[in-house]
Amino acid sequence: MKKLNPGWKLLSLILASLLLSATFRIRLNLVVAAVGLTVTLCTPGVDRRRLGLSMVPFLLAAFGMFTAGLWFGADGGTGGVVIRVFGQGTLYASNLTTAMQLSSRILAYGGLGMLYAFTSSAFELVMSLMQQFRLPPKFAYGILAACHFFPVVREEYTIVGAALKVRGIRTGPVSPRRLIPMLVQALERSGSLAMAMESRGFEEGAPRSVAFPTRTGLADLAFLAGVNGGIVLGLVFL
Amino acid sequence: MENKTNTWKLKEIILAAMICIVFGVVYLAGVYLASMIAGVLTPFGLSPLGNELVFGVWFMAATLSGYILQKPGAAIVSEVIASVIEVLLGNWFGPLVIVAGIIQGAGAELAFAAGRYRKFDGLVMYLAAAGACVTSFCWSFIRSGYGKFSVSFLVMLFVVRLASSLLFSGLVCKAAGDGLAKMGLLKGYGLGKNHA
Amino acid sequence: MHSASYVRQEPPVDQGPAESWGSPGARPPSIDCPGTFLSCQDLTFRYGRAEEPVFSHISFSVRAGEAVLLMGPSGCGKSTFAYCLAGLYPEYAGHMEGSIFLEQLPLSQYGPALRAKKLSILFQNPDNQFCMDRVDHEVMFALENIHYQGDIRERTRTLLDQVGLLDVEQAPIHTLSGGMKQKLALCTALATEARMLILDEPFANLDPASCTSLAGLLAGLNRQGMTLLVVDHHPRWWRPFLSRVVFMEKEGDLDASSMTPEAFDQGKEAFQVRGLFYDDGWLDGIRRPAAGSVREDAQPDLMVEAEDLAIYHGKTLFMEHLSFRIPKGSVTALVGACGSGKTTLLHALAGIGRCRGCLRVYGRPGLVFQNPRFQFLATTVEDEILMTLGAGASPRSSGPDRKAEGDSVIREAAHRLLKEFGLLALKDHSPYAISQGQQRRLALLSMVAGDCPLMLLDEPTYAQDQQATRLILELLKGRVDQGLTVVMATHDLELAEAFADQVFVVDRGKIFQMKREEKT
Repeated sequence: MKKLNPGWKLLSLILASLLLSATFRIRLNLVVAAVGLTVTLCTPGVDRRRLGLSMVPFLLAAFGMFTAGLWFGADGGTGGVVIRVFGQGTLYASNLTTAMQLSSRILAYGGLGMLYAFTSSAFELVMSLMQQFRLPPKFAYGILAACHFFPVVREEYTIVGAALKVRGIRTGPVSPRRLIPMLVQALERSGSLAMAMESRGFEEGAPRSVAFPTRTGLADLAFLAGVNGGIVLGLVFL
Repeated sequence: MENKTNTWKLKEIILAAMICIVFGVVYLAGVYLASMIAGVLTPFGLSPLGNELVFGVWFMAATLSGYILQKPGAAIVSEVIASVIEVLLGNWFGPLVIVAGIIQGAGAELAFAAGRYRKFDGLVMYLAAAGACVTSFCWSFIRSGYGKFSVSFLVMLFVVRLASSLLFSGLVCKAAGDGLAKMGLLKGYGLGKNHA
Repeated sequence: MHSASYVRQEPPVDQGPAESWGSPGARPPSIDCPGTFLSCQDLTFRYGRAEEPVFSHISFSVRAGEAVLLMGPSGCGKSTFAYCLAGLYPEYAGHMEGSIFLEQLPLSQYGPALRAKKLSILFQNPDNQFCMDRVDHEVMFALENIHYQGDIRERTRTLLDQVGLLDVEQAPIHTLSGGMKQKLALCTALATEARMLILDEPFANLDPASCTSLAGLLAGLNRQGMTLLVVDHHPRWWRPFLSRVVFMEKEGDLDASSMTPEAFDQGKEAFQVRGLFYDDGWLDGIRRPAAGSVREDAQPDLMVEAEDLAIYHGKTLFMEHLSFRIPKGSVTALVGACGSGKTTLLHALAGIGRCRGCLRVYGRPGLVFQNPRFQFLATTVEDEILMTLGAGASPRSSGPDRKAEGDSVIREAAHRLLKEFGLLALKDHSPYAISQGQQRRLALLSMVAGDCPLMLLDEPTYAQDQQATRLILELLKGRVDQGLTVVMATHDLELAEAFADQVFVVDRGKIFQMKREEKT
C-alpha cells in the first residue's frame, strides 16, 4: 500500500468517495469501511495507537449523524411503519434507515480516509502532484514550505494568547486581536521564505534536476480500477 | 492598477499557504469547542450544528487571500491549497476534502468575479462569505446526504452556517485585512497598493 | 590575513566596471584575479514611492576574495542595502534607482538560478529560510534548482560533511539549534556553488559556541577564495580575518570610509561616533553600583520564591527540582545555550507556563518576549502606550470634560515615556513598521507603563547596536534603583556579569547560581 504513487492513490480514493456519495447503500458503506480499515491495519509500519485514536472522532461524527437522521429525517411519517413512540418524538422505520444511511456513509469515508492518511507520505504526494499531475513547482514547493511551519504556527498561536494574557487581555480563539500578530508573522515569513528559496536558485521555468522521483506503475492503475470497480460491483450486488 | 497580473509570484503562493496554515491552527482551536458542543447536542439529534458553528472558519483562507491578493483565482486557489494542506497534515476525511475545497473556493471566487476583481469592499467580502457558504451547503447535500433531512432542520443548519460564514469569513477577515493594510504591511500585495 | 592583500588603502576609483557597461559580453574575470566582484553605483532606495529614501547615491564595491564587514547603527538601512545587493530588492519591496553589477554584468540581468551560482544570502532569522522538512532534503532542493547533473545524494553528503552536519543528515530541520540552522543555510549556499556570501547579522540569535564554530567555517571558506560581505553589529567574531570594515552611511561612497585591520586599533573613535560596538569595553559604566555581597547575607524582601519547582514545555517535563529566590529590586540574569530552557522558565515566572511545585511571585509580572512582535495590540506606537496607560481602552465612560482632561494628562504621560525611550518621533508609526531595536524598546515601554513591579525580559539586547543596548540598560537601571525587579534571559555572559546582581546558569534542566568573581 505504501509503495503506491500517492497522487494516483489520492485520485482513486476521491473517485471512490464520489461514487459512494451518489448512493445510499448501507451494506456497501459498511463493507467499504471495514475493508479500508482492515487494509490500513494490515499495512506494515502503521501506528495502530494513532489509528485507534483517530477513529474516535469518526465514530462520534457517525453517531451524531445517526441521531440527527433519526430525529430530523425528511421522509418520516409518510408510509413508514411506526416502531415506537416516546415522548413527543415519533420514530419511524424509514428514519432508522435514513440514520443508518447517513452514519454508515461517514464510516465509509473514514475507512477510505484512513487508508490514505496512514499509508501515504505528504512529501511524496507533493512530488507526485508535481511530476505526474503537472502542479507547477512554485506551488509544490511553496505549499511544502508553508506546511512545515504548521507546528511552529501552532506554538505561536499559544504564545500570542499568552502575550495577550500577560497584558490582561483575554481573547476567543478567532479574535482579530489574536489573528493579526499571527498574520503579520505569516506575511513576514512568506516574504523571507520566498527570498530564501530564490537566493538558493529556485526559479520558475528554469531547468531543474529531479532529486525525488515518483513514478506511475501498473499497480497504481490496478488500484484505481480495482477500488472503483469493486464499488461499482458492490452497487450492483449488495 | 499597475501590475495586476494573473501569474502567481512565489511569495504570493507562500503567503496564501501561510494564511491557510494560520487558519488551520485557528480552526483546530475552534473545532475542539465545536466538537464539545456537538457532543452535548448529539442526544437531541442536533450534533451537525456544532460543526456548522465553526464552518465559517473554513472559508477564511479563501476570503482573506482573495481580499489581500486581489487577483483572479486567488480565492479558489487558496481554498484548494488549504485543502491540499489538510490532506498533507492527515485530515481524516482525506481525499474528499480536496473536492470540498474546489467547491467552496468557487463560491467565494464568484463574488470577487462579480466585482470584476476591481471592487473589494465590505459588500463583496460578505458576498464571498455567503457564496462559499451556499456552494458548500450544496456540497453537503451530496457528501453528507443532507437531502435526507427534513426542510425545517435544513433551514436551521443553513442559517447557522451562514451566520458563521458572515461573521468569520466576512467581518473578521475584512477587519484583519484592513488592519494589516493600515499598518503598511501589505505594500507588496493588491490590497496594500489600493490603500496607498 | 590572506585576503588583506586585496585591500585598497585609497578610496577606489570605480571606473573599471563603468567602462564595460556597454559590453555585456565581456568575460568576467576569474576568481583568481582580484577584480571587482560586486559593485553598485549611485544606489538610492525607498520603500514607498513618496517616502524619504532609506539611503541615496551609495557607491560601493567588493573585490573577489575579500571579507568585508558592513556596520551601522540599528535602522540605518544596512540590511536593506544587503537585500539590494543580493538582488532581492526591489523585486520584493520598494523602489530602487542606480545600478548594481555582478561580475561586470547588471545584476538585474541574472535570473535567480544564475544569480545563486554567483552569490547567496544568509538571513538574520535562521528559522524562516528553509522550505523542506529534512536537512538533506533542503540541500537536495538547492541542487535541483541549479540543475545539478551528478549524483545528488553523494554531493549532498559531501556538502553536509563540509559544514559538519553529516551526523544530522536526516534530522527534521525544526529540531536543529539556531547555529546548526545557519550552518545548513551556509551548506545550501555552497550547494548552489555561490562564490560570494552576503550574511545579514548571521549571529544575531546564536549562543557564543555556535558563533565561534560558524565564524571558523566562514574564515576557512574565505581562505579558499569565498568572498564575504557581512552585516553585523559587533566586529568581535570577524576581526581575525577581515579585509576591511565599511560604515553604512545615508549617502555617498562607502569605500571611502573603509577601515583596514591595521587601522582598527586606532579606529575606536570611528565606532563610538556611530554608536557601534568596538570591543567589550562598552560595558564600562554599566556596572550596577549597588551590586555586591550586601544582599547575600542580609534577608531582603523577596520578589520570587521557588521551591522544588518542575516546569513543563507543552506537556513534556522540561526542568525539575528548581529552587531559587529573587530579592526585590535586584537584577537576575539567566544564561545558557539556546534551547536550555531560559524562555520556558521566564514564561513560568510570568504565569503562562505549566509548572508544578511551589512558586510564589509577589507582584504582577510584565514579560517582554524574545520576539516582541507577538505582543503589540494597537496600530500605532502611541496607541500602544495609551492603551496600557488605560486611556485607549475606556472611552466615553465619565463626563466629556473630565474625560478630555484625563485624556490629555495620560497623553502627556505617554509622550514623556516615549521621549525617554527615544520613540517619540515614531509615535504615529505602526509598531510593526519600526526597526527591531525600536520594537524591543516599545515592548519594554508598554510593560513599564503598566507599572509591573517584576520585569521579565527575554534576550533584551538581541540584534541591537551598542547605543540601543546601552539605552535599554540605562532605562532599566534607573527603574531598578527605584525598586523594579528584573529577570533577564541572555546568552551574553559579559553583559550578565556586568549588569546582574545574581547570575543563574540554566543547563540541561537544572539551574545553578554562578559565583561572583572576587574583583579587587
